[in-house]
Order: sequence, then C-alpha cells, then structure tokens
Amino acid sequence: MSYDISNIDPDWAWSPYIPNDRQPWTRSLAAHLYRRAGFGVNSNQLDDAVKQQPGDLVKKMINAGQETDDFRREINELVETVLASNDAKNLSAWWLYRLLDTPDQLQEKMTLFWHGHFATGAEKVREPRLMYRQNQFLREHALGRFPDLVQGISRDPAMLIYLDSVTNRKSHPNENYAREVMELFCLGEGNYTEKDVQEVARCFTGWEIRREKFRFNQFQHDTGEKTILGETGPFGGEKAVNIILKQKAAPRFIVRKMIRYFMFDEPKPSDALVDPLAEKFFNEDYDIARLVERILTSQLFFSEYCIGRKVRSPIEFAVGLLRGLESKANVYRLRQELAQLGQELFYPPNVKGWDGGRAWINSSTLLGRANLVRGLIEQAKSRFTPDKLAELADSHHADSPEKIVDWLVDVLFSVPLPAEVRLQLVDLANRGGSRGRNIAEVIHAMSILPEFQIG
Amino acid sequence: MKRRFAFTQALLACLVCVACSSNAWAAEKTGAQKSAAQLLPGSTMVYAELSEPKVLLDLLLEHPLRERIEQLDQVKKAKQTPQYLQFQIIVSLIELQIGMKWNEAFNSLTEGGISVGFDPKTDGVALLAQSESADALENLRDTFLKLARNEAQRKGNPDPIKTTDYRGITTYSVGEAKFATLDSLLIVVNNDELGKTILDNYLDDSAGSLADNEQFQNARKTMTGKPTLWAYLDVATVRAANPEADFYNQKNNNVALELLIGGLIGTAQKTPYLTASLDIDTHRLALNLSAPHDPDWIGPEHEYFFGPGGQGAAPPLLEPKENLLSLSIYRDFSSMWLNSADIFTDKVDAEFAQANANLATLFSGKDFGEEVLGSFQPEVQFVATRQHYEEDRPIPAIKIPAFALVFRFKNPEPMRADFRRMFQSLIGFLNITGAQNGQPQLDQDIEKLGDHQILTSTYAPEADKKLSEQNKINFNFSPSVAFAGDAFVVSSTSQLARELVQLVTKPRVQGDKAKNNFVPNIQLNTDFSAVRDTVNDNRNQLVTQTILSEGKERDEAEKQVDLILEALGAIQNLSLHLDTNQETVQFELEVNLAK
Repeated sequence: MSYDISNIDPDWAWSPYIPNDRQPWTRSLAAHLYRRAGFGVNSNQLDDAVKQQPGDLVKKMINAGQETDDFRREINELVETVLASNDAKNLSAWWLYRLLDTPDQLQEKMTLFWHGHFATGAEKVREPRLMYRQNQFLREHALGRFPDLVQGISRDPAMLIYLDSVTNRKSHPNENYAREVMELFCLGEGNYTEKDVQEVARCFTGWEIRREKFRFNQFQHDTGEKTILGETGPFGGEKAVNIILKQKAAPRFIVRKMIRYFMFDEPKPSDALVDPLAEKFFNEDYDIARLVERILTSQLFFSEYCIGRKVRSPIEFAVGLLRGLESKANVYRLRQELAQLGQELFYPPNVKGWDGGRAWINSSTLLGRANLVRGLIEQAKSRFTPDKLAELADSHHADSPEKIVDWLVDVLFSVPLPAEVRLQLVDLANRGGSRGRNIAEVIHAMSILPEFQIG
Repeated sequence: MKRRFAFTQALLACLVCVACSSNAWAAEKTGAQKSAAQLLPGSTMVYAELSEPKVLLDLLLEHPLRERIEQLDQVKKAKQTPQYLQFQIIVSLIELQIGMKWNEAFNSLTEGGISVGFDPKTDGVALLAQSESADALENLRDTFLKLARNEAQRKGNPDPIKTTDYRGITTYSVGEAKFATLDSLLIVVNNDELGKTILDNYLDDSAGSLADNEQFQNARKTMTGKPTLWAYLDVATVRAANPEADFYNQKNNNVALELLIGGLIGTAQKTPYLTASLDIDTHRLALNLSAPHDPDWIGPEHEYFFGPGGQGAAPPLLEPKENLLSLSIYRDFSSMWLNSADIFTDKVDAEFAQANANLATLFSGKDFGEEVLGSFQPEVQFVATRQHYEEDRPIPAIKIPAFALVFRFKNPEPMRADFRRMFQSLIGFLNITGAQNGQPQLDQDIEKLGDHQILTSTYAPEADKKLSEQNKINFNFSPSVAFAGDAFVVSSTSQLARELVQLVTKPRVQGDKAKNNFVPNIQLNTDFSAVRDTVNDNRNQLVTQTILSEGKERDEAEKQVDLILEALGAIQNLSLHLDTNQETVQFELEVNLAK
C-alpha cells in the first residue's frame, strides 16, 4: 500500500487540481473527495458533484453552514435528553447519529480529527456534559484557528480532568498537560526538552476547575520566571502556548498529521513535501480552513498517491456504508459494535488517540466488520432492511444484478473491483431470494473484500 | 399400557383449549344432543369449552383496540411478509369455494360452541364443535373434502382422504387428523382410540365419560354464570403422571419467587383439580383460577405465607393521588427468615446467615430475623405514584414515579430509634459516595406532622446551575422515612411520605371479599391513566430513544410514541388478587378497558 513519494515535486503536489483531458472530473474522484472530506456519499450527491468544479465543491464543504436551524434544534433536543441519562456511551451514540445525519460532513470529520488529536476519555472525566461541551468546542473551532483551539482546550474542564491539571499546584507542578501540549498537541517528540516540560507545567499551575468551569487560582499559580524554548519571563499558561506555537515545528507537526488524516497513511511525508504547506499555515495565522482547502484541492489529493491509500477507520467504514446507502441504524447498537472494532467515540484508547492506519485491521476486526454489516442488515427496526434496500435500488434505477453491483461499487468503493470479483457479486445479486435480500447479501459480501477496507 | 405423556403436553393442551371450547350442550343422552363432557372419556385430564365462539371472534375483529394495534409498524410489516400474503390468498381461495367469508364459516361451524379435551390414556386431543345445523356442517365438510382432493389431484398425489366405518359411522382421516360429522356435531381427533371412545359414548355411553367423573362434577359446581371460556385441569393426574418430578418438594433458590408463590406449593401437592374461567366483553377481561385448598396442607415452614390457620390477611390497598400501582401483601418476613433453612437451598440459606450477621451490626446487635423483622406485623403495602415537581427546585429530565413501602410495627417505641439512626447513617453514606462520584448532596431535615415524625433528605441544587427541566435523575429522589402511629413509611420522596402519613393513620376498610369468607393474600391494582401520564411525562425521552435506536425522523418517532400512549389510554385499570378461604384458593386477574 505504501508508495515511494520521495520524488514528488512539492510545487506540483500542492498546486490545485484542475480537471483536464488526462484526468477529468469523474464520479469516482468526487466520491474520493466525499469519503476523505466526510464519511460517505450517495448516488444523488455524486450526480450533483460532477456538475460542479472540484474547487467550488471543496469551498462549499469548508464554508459550513449547511446545517439548518431545524437540524441544530433537533440535534440539541436529542443531546439534552441523552445527557439526562448521565451516560457518556449514550452521548457516543448521539454523535454517531450526528455523523450519519449532518449535511456538514467536513465539519464533523474535522471534529473527529480534533477529538483524536486532543484525546480525552469519558472513562476518566465521568461527567458526560463536560465531554459534550468539549465536543461542541472542537466543532465550533474545527475549521478555525489552531491557536484558539489550543488556548481553549487548555482551559477545557474535561481536558483538565483527563490530564490531571486540576492538581497542578505551584508547590507540586503536575507535568502531564505540559508534556502533552508539546509532544502530542503542538510540536511532536524531539522538539522540546524535559526542562521545557517542567517550565511549561509551572506556567499552568493554578489552572483548575470549579463547579465544572475553568477557574484561575492565583494563589496556586507560580508567578516566578520560567524559561521556555529559549524565552524567559514570568509566563502564564496562555503565554506558554503562544511561545510553543511560535516554533517552526508546530505548523509542520499539524500539517504532517493532517496529511496523514486526509491523504495517505504511509509513508511519512518528507519535510520537503510538508514545508510549503506548513509555512503557509504558519504565515496565515494557523488558519485551519485554508490548510484543509489546500489539501483537498491539491493535485496530490486527486492523484494515485492518495486514492485508495488509507485504511477506513471503523467509523468511516460504518458511517460511510450507511450514508452511501442513505440509511440509518440503531446507533446504540452501532456504538457497541464500533467499540468492539476499536473506535468508540469519547473513549479514545489513551492520550495519543487512535493510532489509525494498519492498526485498524487484523483478523479479529475484519470478522467484526463483517458481523457489523450482517447486524445492520438483520436489524428489523432500522432503515437498512432488505425492503428498504430494494426501494433504494429502484430509486437509482438499479434494476438488474449488474446495475445493482455497479451502483454499490459507485457509492461504496474507492478502487475498482477485479473483474472476477465483480462477476461473483453479480452472481450473488442474481440468487433465488427476494431482491432486497440479494442486495443485502451482496453488501455483506462486499464488506469483507480487502478493497472495501480502503477509503 | 404405560401412560406416556408429558406435563408440557398437558400445558400445551391447555393452551389449545384457550383457543377453542364447547357449551353445555343439552344434557339428554341422545346422540348429537349430548354435551362434550358426556362424550369425552372419563380419563380426560384437560378440558376446555368456549360457549360462544362467535361473540369472542366478533369482539376480536371489531374491537376498537384492533384498529390501533394494526397501526403499529410491526403489525404493518408482518402483514407485508410473503407468508402472510400467501396465507391471505389461500383464505380467499377457500372463501370462494365455500361461498362465504371465513369468519361466517367459522361462526356457522361453531355456533353451538367448541370443546377441547386431552386424554393422557390415549395421548389424544379431541376437538368437538357444535355447528349451526347438520346441513351447514355437511356442506362445509363436503367442500373441504373436495378442496383437499382437487389440490391432491392438481399435484398428482393420491386421494389424501381415507374413509372408514365405525359402528355405522363414517369417519375420515387426513394425515394424523381424523374426523367425523354426526348430525350437527363435528368431532376431530388425532388418535383412533380416543375417536372410538367418543363415538362409543355418542352411540351408547359404553365407554364412560368425563361427565360421570366425580372430580369433574365437583369442579363443574364451581362454575358461576356463563363464562366465555371455562377450563378444567386434573391436577391429581398430572401429579401421578410425574411421580419422579420432585418440583413440589424442592427447596427454592429464588427469594422473590418464594415470596410470590412459595406458599402455594402445599396446595399444588394436594389439590385434586384446577379450574379456569375467563370472561371477556368489550370493556372487561376477567380471569379466575381456582383450586380446592385446605390450610392444613400448608407446611409449618410456609406458614409465613398464609398465616396461622390460613387467616393472615393482606391489608387494604393504599390509594394516594395519581397512584400507578398499589400492592398489599400478607407475609411474615421474620418467620420466613427464621425458617430459611427449610425453605431455601443451602446456598441461599448461607446468604441469609451472612446477612443476619452483617445486619446485626447496623441494629445495635439485635438479631435481624427475630428482633428486627420480628418487630413488624406480617404485612406490607407498596405504592408507586406519578411525581409532580416543585417549580423552584431542579426538575429531572427523566421522570421516575415516587414509590414507598409501608410496614407496621408490633410495638413501635423500641424500634423507632434504631430505624431513625439507620436512615441517618444511610444518608451520610450516600453523601460520601456521592461526593466521590461528583453527585449532588442530600440535606437532612426532620418534620413534625401532629404526632407523626418525617425524616426527609433532599438533594441540594448544584451551585451556579440555572433551574431547568434537564437535571440529573437524582432529583427524582428525596429519600424519607416516616413514623405515624404503628406505621413505618420508607419513601423515595418526602412528598409521598407526607401523603402516606395521612393515609396510613386512617381506619382500615377491607374490600368485599370478606363476604365469601375469603381472606386476601395479595392485592394489586394498577391505574393505567396514571401510568399513561407518567409515560407522557417522559415523552421526549422516548421520542429520542426511538430516533436513535430506530433511525426514525422525529415526526415518525412521535407518532410511534403517541400510539403507545394511546394504547395505554385504552386500558383503565388492572387488578390482581390471591385469596383463600378454608376450602378454596383463587387467583383473579381483571383488566378493565377505558370506555
């Protein structure tokens, strides 16, 4: 799956893709964009997408605002009743419902990115409302400015609990948050020293929570001079973040992580490839939207170096499948199944978040993915039933076994299927059972194909 | 021949009976006018009769509830399945052949009633239906024979109907089933021997009948009025057929089950029969299960259940405002606790012993079974009511009914201090564990209502939080205890405790059972209008659950929840009683539908 990308010309890579005779703007490329910028795409969306220019489409995705007032009201009503249960697992189900239903897929994809980046686990935080507030904060700033995110997350009660900042006092600084803000949130390993960690920890002393809100306790704050990354002064936490974000390593760290999230799992992009984007990101005051737009409109994004070069995460797998088939499901049950596959929202495995890439796939999770699809098909109460599938196929004029398979490949696969596999699927779609049942069986068979695990 | 039938078969036969039955056809012993009991053999173990099948069928087909049930998604889906559609086609085909709708045919065939019997001696089940007339029955029979033969011919199969003659009567066999028509009487059996016995009784009473069975005659005498369904089970035969099954004598490992039915074991070991009577009309469903009973059948270890001489009476039901559920029960918990070695398995008994040791420390060294439980009278009342929340207090998002238990002290004074201290310790404990888990804290208070004392605890609102209707589930509770006369109230809310203090000090009035010398053992009443209101209080929660669990849009989810609320609104109340007198134990269930 790994390509040699050492010879890629950065100028070519980051120049915008403009459809041409050699690489026209096709349904397949539009589907690739939708899967990476969101979770999945249905046939109608593809019909609409190919009528637009890719750059315009990305702009629309970035300029979130497609969520109507009615949608937000509905989502807010749902979350209030879910929070009343005082169980973060129900909150996880709620977010799945949002992922399935939102028209602003990129906003949710970025919220998920920041959730993995600023990983916070409900197991330790215990108060679902704090997890929800953090989630809303990440959503609001998902495509905003990175410094705002870091400053905000440093005051976020859920994060303060998760990384033990509540016990960070001047007499005994707790280094957890200081370490992670440099290692995992902003700079990456090797770009700071242990002394920097100790000094940044002093800056954050007295940053507490009281009654579920951030509170600065001046009596517990170390007002003395600190030296951080070469600068000296009586810094507080806010200034410490500013100093960290002045480092050249910071934009490079974020850009590299973003390339991996949107473009390819492997190999690790070189500095030469990363630097042009990182420089612009830094100079544009860490404007996340512009960085994402550059990535999603680039030649590199629509090239063979990116298409089919990512392993679908469990959420991308399930939400993509359901969105592709315009279906919904029992999200409580889906949450449980995704947890078994290793990705439960609000429950990242550790402070590093989910590893992603090849780590998603092993013999056990492959079987789990097939079982998940089987479970979706067998859920009598969901919309993902054979009857509904037959209706859906009709609405997309998939009126023969060949057309059924082609329609499903169109919306669900990022890479073409080998001819022999396609024939077997056509054969399966032509079996004796009801049409809806046949479609369900084809989807189940597709879900265990290696090509289906690639996004 | 060794009797070979299983208890499960008997139960199965009972269930079949519920779907069928017969009326008391004319008592004269002349051919078709004989009753089903006069035709079935004396060894019949299960017998049931449905006197007016037409009334029941019309009720099922035309009841307003049916329309509501058919609106349910699950029902709509079931009616779209290929199996159901195929069944509909077959029904239409048959209707075409017989020239009438299926329900008209059913009414014609069963106008005089249906009876079903299970005879363990032959392992046979018989169905007897008295039709509208001999002509109508003959017409239906011939149409059926023709249909079956045509179908076989169409498939190239041999004639599926075998005809034989028994003492001048033509009988027909189709696979395992055998049937005969005698004047207006249809007899269907699954067994030759049983069929012959019925025909012998029809012709000359030569085989001995159920009607001649003295035990059955006694059971018949208990039937009052003209129930929709009446059924009889020969319990003595069931016991005799399962001598190796020691479930009557086994020790219990389930405390809740023991408390519910443990005392009935003695009756099950001795009672000769059980009768069931079901009355159904547009507004009411009433089931009565009755069996002979003698207080002497109850062993000393189970005396806690019915009391000495079977005279222990459950107190009257409490009726607070907006009462969802009210339960009263007679149980001598102290006696049960002390006799645990004879009632429960060793494992459960060991748990009782362990609990006894642990609880003694909480009650100043008093023995829990003998001195603490022994300080209460053998009765408990339970109520659950819809809650109303004060506007200046946090209102929980999920609204749970308030509930309370009422006990009576034999001698209140010495125990009050112990229970007061216990309650205060418990609230302290809850506050400590709550603080560790970020939960709100409970404020304690003591109220005086005349001579009565109420110890309350109330969750303190969380500081800086605006009053809203989306608070934690904790705010459903304000745990309280009250001491009023000899009553000890343990309530989930202080509001209910205050209300109960007024109720438990009023003079008690027992229901009308006493007039038949019946002593109530368990009484339960559920008011569905209060249940519906409580469910409606949580409508938003239910709609959210439906949206998230079924992927429905809000309007669809609301429609589904409203349908459930409407269905609940169709029921007025449900009551349940277990009563005994010196001769009978009876269980009554009554459901009244909203008018």
